[in-house]
Amino acid sequence: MTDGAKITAVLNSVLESAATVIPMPITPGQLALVTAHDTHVGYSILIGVTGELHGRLVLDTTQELVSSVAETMFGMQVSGEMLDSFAGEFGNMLGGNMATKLSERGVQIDITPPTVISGNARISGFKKAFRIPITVSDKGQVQCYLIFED
Amino acid sequence: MAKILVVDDAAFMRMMLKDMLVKGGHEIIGEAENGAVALAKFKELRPDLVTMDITMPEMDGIEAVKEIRKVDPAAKVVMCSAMGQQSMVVQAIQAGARDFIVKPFQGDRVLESISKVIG
Repeated sequence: MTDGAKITAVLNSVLESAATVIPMPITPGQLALVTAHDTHVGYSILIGVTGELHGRLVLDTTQELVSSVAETMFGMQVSGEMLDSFAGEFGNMLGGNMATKLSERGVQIDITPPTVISGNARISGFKKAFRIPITVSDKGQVQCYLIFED
Repeated sequence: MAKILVVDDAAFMRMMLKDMLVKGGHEIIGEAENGAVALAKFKELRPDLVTMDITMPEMDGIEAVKEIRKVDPAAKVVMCSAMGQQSMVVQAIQAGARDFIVKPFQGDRVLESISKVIG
């Protein structure tokens, strides 16, 4: 499989994963190629990707959106440390489902435990990344950054 | 009713699983946030069943199942993971897991699996 085909497989898998995991209607936005200068993130979840592809999946969102997902998925409101814990799990579910969808396309990856970033940060240490916004019902957006090392 | 050890690195998921299992009539006798702690708790508590996440720091769930089965070859472990690809399921079953539940899951699916494994 060419690198381009692998990247297409990743993008499709991320969108399918989001549709599977997020228990609300989602609308994907326009895909963009971004540099480290364009990656200012707020409340975010970072998942490492290993295996046939090396990189990171970063989900830039808001505590309000994560809280809405938790409430819709499990019927309970969460806040504070439990919200951060759910945010990590949300990233784990998105990354894990992405890995499952990718394996169906012939690309085998593994993911690392999630890291939750609170506050504002800029991601660096890479040349280019793909960013695709996913609008979740009327609750807000998840900006998905896909960063490949190779 | 089974005495269960819940293993997941996310405190939120441990809380949700405990809630689902208690409502299903089971008793939670311990919890662990990674595979290494799970192994220590298994030796100490000897649960009837373990629910095991896969992607965890320190020691992952697949390695933990292998280590637990060395301690007790009849140990009953149900994997609860977001990583549902065929290769991962095969690895888990080969390591000794009795069933595999993919996250996000419903309480009914978890209880059904535990009833099946406990027998």
